[in-house]
Amino acid sequence: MYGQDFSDFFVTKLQANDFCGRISGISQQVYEAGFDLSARLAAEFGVVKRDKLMMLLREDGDLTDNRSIQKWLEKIISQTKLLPTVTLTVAFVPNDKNLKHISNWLLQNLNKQVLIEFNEDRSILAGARVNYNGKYSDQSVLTSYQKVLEKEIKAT
Amino acid sequence: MQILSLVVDATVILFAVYFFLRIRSKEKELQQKEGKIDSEYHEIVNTALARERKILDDATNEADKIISEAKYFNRGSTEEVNKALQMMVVDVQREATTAASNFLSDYQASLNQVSVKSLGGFENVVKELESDLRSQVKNFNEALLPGLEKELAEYKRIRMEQVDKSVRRIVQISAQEILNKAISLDDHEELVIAALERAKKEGVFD
Repeated sequence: MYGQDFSDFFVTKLQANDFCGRISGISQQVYEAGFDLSARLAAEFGVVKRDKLMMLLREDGDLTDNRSIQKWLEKIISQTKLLPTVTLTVAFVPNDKNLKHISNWLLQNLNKQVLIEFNEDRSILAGARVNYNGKYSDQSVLTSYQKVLEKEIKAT
Repeated sequence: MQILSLVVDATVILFAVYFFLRIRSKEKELQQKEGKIDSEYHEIVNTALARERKILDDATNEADKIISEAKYFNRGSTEEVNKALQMMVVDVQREATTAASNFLSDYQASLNQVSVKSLGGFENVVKELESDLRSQVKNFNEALLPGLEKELAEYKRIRMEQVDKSVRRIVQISAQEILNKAISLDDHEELVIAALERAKKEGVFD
């Protein structure tokens, strides 16, 4: 399942943690009397996301018994936790559309889903400071701005 | 019986007349005594009043005499005192003038003495000061001036750095205020994606 797109369910690290928490809750209820996976998924994520999850379940095999369902849920959790994270320091609070676009860019350019961890810092003005897998790049407008300003001050 | 009654009545009437006459004579006697006493009293009082009047007159005369003598004495004393005071004032003025004159002459003499002494010392002091000043100026030019120039340059550099820092900070805060208001979420998103593109070119995602 690694490399599969979970961006319909979460794009940020925070959302992924929330997703894992809900799946874990469902997994613990598997052996309860009258357990209905479809109903529980719908209750936690809504009908649309429930259908997508059920489709993923079917793609992984005919999982009908409670034990295999639990294993599948736990596998989703462990795979989610293995997803890499990119930390972006930005100067704004992104909305769902912004999140989706940035997430899509990462998916298309890195060919895998990457969780985004946002840090808000308005002093960087715009752009982003990118931190991924131990590598760092400052692409903030503030840095460019400071370079220009420095040049101007030295020139005068 | 009737005769007896008449005799008794007559006797009673005789007794009554007798007693009346006797009382009358006693009264006259008393009136005479009273008149005598009254005249004696008046005589005594008149005599006393006459003596009193005389005493008062004597006393008044005596008092007038004393007062007139006292006035004379007082006038005399005042004149004496005034005269003495005037003399004292004249003496004090004379003494003060003499003392002031003496003091002035003494002071002038002392001043002349001090001036003569000081002038020589002053010339020496001026010479010492001049040579001291020359050596200090020389010392300043040789040792302190280069250090001061260096310190001044360092101070200038630090101040310029502070100014640069302030300018940067002011411009940054202004830019932040303006850009945070001017840039929309979509613009921010585009700039983030552009930043990701540049980061990718730098090899951050390799």
